[in-house]
Amino acid sequence: MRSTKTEYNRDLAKGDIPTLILAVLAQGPCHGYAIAREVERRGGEVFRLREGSLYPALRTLENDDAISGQWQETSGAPARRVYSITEKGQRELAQRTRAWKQYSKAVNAIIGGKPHAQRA
Amino acid sequence: MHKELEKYLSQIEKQLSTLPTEQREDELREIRSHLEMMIEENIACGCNEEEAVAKALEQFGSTKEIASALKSTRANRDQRARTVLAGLVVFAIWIYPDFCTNYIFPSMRYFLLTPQASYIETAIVFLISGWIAEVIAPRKVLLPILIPFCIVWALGISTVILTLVAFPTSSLSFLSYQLLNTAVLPLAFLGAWIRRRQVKHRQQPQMIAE
Repeated sequence: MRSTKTEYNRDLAKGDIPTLILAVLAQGPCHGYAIAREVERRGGEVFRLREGSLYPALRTLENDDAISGQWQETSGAPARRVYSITEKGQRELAQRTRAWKQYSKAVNAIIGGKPHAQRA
Repeated sequence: MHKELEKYLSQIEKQLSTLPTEQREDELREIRSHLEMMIEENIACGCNEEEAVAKALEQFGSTKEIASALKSTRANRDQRARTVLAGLVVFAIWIYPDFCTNYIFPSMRYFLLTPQASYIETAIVFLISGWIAEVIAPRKVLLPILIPFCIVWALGISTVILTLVAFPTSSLSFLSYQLLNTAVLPLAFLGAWIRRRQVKHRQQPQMIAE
């Protein structure tokens, strides 16, 4: 039997990427590579993130002032652009989280297959 | 650095050629840094250099898709900024001559602006403002023209109301000026249309040559 991981190993939907970025940045500032690794780690490798798609999403969030990015030089390592979440980003994350919970609840209700009688 | 990595980055660079140099270099610097970390990680996991690079590039995705997504986000931001700038410029163009002739050089009005000349001046100012708005924010002139217009109109009407309340015997020349502004508004859009036609006309021979 194939594992659950293989069955659901799929590319992340583009619309979900900003939510995941905000969720990772809510834990602390990160550069792009670290965001990708954290998404992979927390997602248990269930879905695959095309890492190139991370940057357009980061730009969009920056344009919306949900995150801010700054180049940081560290001795002995190449400079990296580090992103942190803004207050507006925190609000956006809370809103997106609520929407996602509503959505997943609805999907669970459908695939859970509870008969109408039981729901009543 | 590895040949395949350089080839991949130069493809992205080519596709981002329409971005301003500084922005393009910023994007490339960040992508390079990300890819180098991916390659290092792949090597640490036991891949040889060739495999590590190939795996990283595959995981990063198609250069075409990344570049086009990056361009569209930059373009959105630039377009928003240009729209705001066009609005401010249009507002200034409409307000500045009035401000100068009324408050800074009031004597100019007697020398230059007979009532008829004033109507012509207003018409020309609207036409030019539309032309300039189209230069700054191509194909997005509706808001930069309409929003300042509503502001100018609201300011003008408030002045009329305040004047009438303060001096009930005063004439309604302010009101007629506001009506004139409304009547010449389409000239701003005509100005934008003229500019658009000029650009289209200039581009046509190049398109045929291509």
